[in-house]
Parts: sequence; C-alpha cells; structure tokens
Amino acid sequence: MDWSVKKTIRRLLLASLGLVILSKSSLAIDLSFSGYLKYLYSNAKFPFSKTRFNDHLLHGRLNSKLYLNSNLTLTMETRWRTLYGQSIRNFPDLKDQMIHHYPLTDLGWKLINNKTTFSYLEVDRLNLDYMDEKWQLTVGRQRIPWGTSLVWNIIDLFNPLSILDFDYEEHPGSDAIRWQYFTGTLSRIELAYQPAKSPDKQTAAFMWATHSGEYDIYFLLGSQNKRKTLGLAWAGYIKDAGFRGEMRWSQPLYKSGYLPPPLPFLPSLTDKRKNDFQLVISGDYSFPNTFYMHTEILYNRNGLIKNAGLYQSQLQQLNMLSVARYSIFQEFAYDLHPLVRANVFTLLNPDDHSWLLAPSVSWSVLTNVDLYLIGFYSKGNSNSEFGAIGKAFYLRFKYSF
Amino acid sequence: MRNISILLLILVIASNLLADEKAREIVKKANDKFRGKSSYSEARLTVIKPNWTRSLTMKIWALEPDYALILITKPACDKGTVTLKRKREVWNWIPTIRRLIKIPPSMMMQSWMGSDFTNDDLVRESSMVDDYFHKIIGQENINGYDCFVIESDPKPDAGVVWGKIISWISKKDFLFLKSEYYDEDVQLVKTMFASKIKKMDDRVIPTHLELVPANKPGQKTILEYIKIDFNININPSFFSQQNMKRVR
Repeated sequence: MDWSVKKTIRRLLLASLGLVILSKSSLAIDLSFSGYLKYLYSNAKFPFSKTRFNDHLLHGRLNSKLYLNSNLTLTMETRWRTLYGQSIRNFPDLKDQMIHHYPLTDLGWKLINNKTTFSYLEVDRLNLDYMDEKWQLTVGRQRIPWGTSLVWNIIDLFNPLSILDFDYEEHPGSDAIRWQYFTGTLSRIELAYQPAKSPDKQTAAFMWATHSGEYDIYFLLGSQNKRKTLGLAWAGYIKDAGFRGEMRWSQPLYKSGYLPPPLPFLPSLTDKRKNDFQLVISGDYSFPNTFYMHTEILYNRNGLIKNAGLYQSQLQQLNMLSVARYSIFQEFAYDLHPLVRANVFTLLNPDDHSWLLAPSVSWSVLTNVDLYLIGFYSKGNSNSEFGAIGKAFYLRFKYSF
Repeated sequence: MRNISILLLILVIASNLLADEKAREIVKKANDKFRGKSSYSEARLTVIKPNWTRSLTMKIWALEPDYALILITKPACDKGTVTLKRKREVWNWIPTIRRLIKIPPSMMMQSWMGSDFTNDDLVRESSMVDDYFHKIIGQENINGYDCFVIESDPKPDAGVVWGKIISWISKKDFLFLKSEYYDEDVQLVKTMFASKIKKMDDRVIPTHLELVPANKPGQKTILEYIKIDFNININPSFFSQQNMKRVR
C-alpha cells in the first residue's frame, strides 16, 4: 500500500470517527448509519479449464446520511471488497474488473494488491440533495433508476447492470446532476446530466413520468454517449398480475464515436448502421400460497443470432445488457418456510440454444443474518451466449446493521 | 286476521332491519374509533412460531379508506422500505437499490415472514363496515367489559376474504375486544384478542392485538401500538411517490 493511499484512508477513517462522535454528542447532528458485512464463498468450474476455482470475498458496506437541515441531505456510501483465492492468481484481469471506472474520478483505493489477494475500497454514492415541496436537486455520485422491468432496464441510461452480478444489488452510481419537479402525486419531470471530460462519455436526458388508469408511464428523451435516444416504459396490472415493459429507440452504436478493440474475423458491434430498437416485456403473478412466477423477454433489433459469447468483452466496454437478438427470462419462487425462500430462474437464448439455470435458496437465520446459496449451471457451445459460464455455486453470509 | 298477520310480518321485518341497522352502527362506531378518518401510528409486529420469532417496527400514515404509507424502521435488513397504497394500486420503495416497484394485486395476499396478517390487512383493502351485513347475536362479558356479539356476513358482490366474522364489541367506548374470522366454509381461521386498553391521543383503545391462528399451536402474531395520533391533518397528496422517498 503506498503512502498516499494510507493517507487517504486515514483521512476517511478520521472523518468517519468525527461523524460518529458528533452524532453521539449533544450537538444536534442528525446522522444515520446502516450497512452490512458479507462473506461470499465461490466455487466455479469453467468449460475451458479443468481447474475448479475456490474464492473468498469479504464485502462490507457503510451507508451514511447527514441531515443538514429539513431540506438538505449529504449521502455517502462506501463499499469495501477483499477477494482472496485462485481466481486472482489465474486471471490477473479480474482485479481490473472489480474496479468500476467512473468518467470523472474513481474515488477508489487499492488497499491490498498482491498475487492472491485484492482489496478495494470505493465510494459509490456521494451526493448532496436539496428537497423542496415541489422539486428536488441531487448533485454528485448517485443512482438514477428509471426502469420498470425487473431484469433488463434498457431505459436506465445511467446505471445499467447485468442480472448475473447478484452481489451488487445497489448498482454503481453515476456522477450526475439530477433535477426533479413533481407535477402531481404520481407524476414528475426530470432532467439529468452526467458530465465527462470527453463528449462520448456524457449522458443527458429528460424524463416525464405520468400516471393513467392503473399505469405508471415514463417517456424519455436523451443522448447517451452522443447517441440520441427515445424511450417509453410502463408498469401496471392486467387483472391481478403485474405487467410492465420498456421500449427504446437509439441511434446505432457507432455514433458514440467509441470503437471497442476489434474481434479477429468477426464484425464489431459498432459496425451496424441501422438504428437500434429494444423492447422488454415483463409479467408476474403471486399465488396465495406464496408461489411466484415471473417471465421477461428482451428483444434487440440489432442483436446477434450467433456467436454472442465472443462479444462479452465488447458488451462490457459498450455498457450493454445483452448482445443477443432475443433473451428470455423465466423465474419461479416459493416459500419453503416463512424464513426460507427457494427461487429458480433460467436465461435462455432461443437462437443459439444456450441457457443458464440458477437455483437459489435464501434463509433468514436470525434477525439481520441471512444465508444465501445460488448455483449457476449453463449449457451451450463455446461461442454461444451462456456456454462459457460453466458451473458455479456461491454461498453467502450476510449480517445487516 | 290476514291484515294483522301482514302487520306482524312488517313489524318483524322492520325490527330486524332496525336491529341490523343498530349492529351496523355499532360496527361503524368501533371501526371509526379504532381507525379515525386519518391517523399516524408507530407499531411493532411480532411473529411468534414454536421455534423462532421475528419482529418489525413501522410507522404508518393512513387516510381512510383508500390511502396508506408504511415505513419499516426495524430490522436493519428491511429498514427504509416504504409501501404506498392508493386505492387498489401499491408500490414498494426499496432504498438499497433506490427503486420503486409496482406490486401486482396478487401479491397483496402474501404475509410478512409468515405473520397472521396479510399485506391486505395492513393496507385495508376491504371495508369491514360496508362490505358485510351485520346482526347482533348476543351479549357476553370479555375481561370485565360487557360486549355486544355481532355476526358479519359478506355482501354477495363484495370481494372480501372472510366467509364470516364474529366480533365482540364493548358497550362502553365501542372497542373491538375479540374477533373470530371464518373462511368461506365457515371454518374458524384465526381469532383476534385485544387488550392493554390505554388512552392514545384523544381516545381510549386497545393497544395490544394478538392474532391466533386456529389449529396451529404455539403460533401467533402480535401487533402493538406504541403511538397513535388520530385525525391528523393530512390529504391525499401526502400519499405520493416522492413522499415514499422522503418519510423517515
């Protein structure tokens, strides 16, 4: 650990200690803390390797809110992860994948960085929020979630995330300015802007949320990394079932000006000249005996019908949710016991016939202590979307405070 | 002779109608007393099972009969979760992921951690007063309180959960002291016992409710009111998506 990192950490610790002392003192400082500590054991077997990888991840999160007055709130949330195990030894790239890079500044520090262990501390929320009766202004690192679907949020211009990253439910933030004006109890308009040094990393959008019948409806107009985009989303009911969806038109990927490193013998995702159109449809229903079912479908007009697995690095570089033409998600859940919920979901690519099956069980062991076991089992040829995921299981212990 | 029998019949029907009207009045008074037109309350819900217990504390803002906003304050893993109900529509605000999720009506019949309350009980989908026919079927003493015993049967087109409810309502102060809930086959499902009668805000009410399911020994759910303010100054615009993210 170099000296400047130590200094930064010492400053952060001192600042936190100062805040805790202030909150306990007689001074009227209105401060709240929450968070969790997680331990995740993973055991993975990839189709291309004979080795089984055993890894241990220790993960802590501290959320703090300082209420400066009845209108003004300062939020800071930090995330600290330490990964120890075989994966670090075998895939040096993994360290970089654990770092979420922000366009302006990362606000992250490598605490331990050696052959077997990597420890990273990052601030993924840091914002000042001013709330008035009719409007709200949030400046800084924040999450701007607009999507209505439960798996793929194509209208989340600011913080999209893959469902397979189940251990980061908070999602990364965006360094942005967000202004909301409330036109009614269920309606508002929003303006959001994410500045960046280069124009191809900037995002700006206008959103209008309204309500009609029993439907929340969202209209979106924006520019994401220089690509103009138009979106629509809804959430409502068909009889007693939930029915929601999202739709988005955008200019083709090449318009952003960002060209990911080319793939040998294959066209790049940025070669498509046609405007992009994506659609998500989602429905769910709960039976009185707790049995729950949920189906979601993603359609991508510019999506691929083969070799989706070879584009995973371009997918990450372009911040996309899926490169496939069609993706189908099906989920069932049931309470085996009031404290134990079983869930199984599958992701299916109907064109290359690859699929992923993910059964899981969560158990509330004690108040604030949860155990979670999830397995991934995938099938498909080596170039298919899910074929390379292989088999893995994860066991997670979580203590919330 | 025929006229007299018709007159008698009319009198019997009229007295029945009047009795029914009186029963409805009693149920309405008890219901209004317990709920008020609007209220702010702080409560603790405890689920007791033979091998484990879980408890949750919450703040509830309500404007009868259509609007409710519930903020979970404990345990830590659920803290900050907000449920908004406006008529039939329900939304959840999950603070960790900062997402607003619209909950389908089919999810409203689920219970929290296997408690004997459903989501519907908490946000009061159906109306005890208007969705049932009421009649007085007797009088009994419960814990020293003289009570009317009232049977409530669902109206044919009311979309209610219960096949029959029998309530014990005190003659003084009109307090629900006990209620038995029956399913459509008139089998007892659960019994509510109310106790710890205290002054809360401007009125005397039971502050400790125990729901005991039939045929499940060692199980019950307790709802304790820590604080209630009745008839607070609140209007439907309070029950907004923006307030879901603001209440604390």
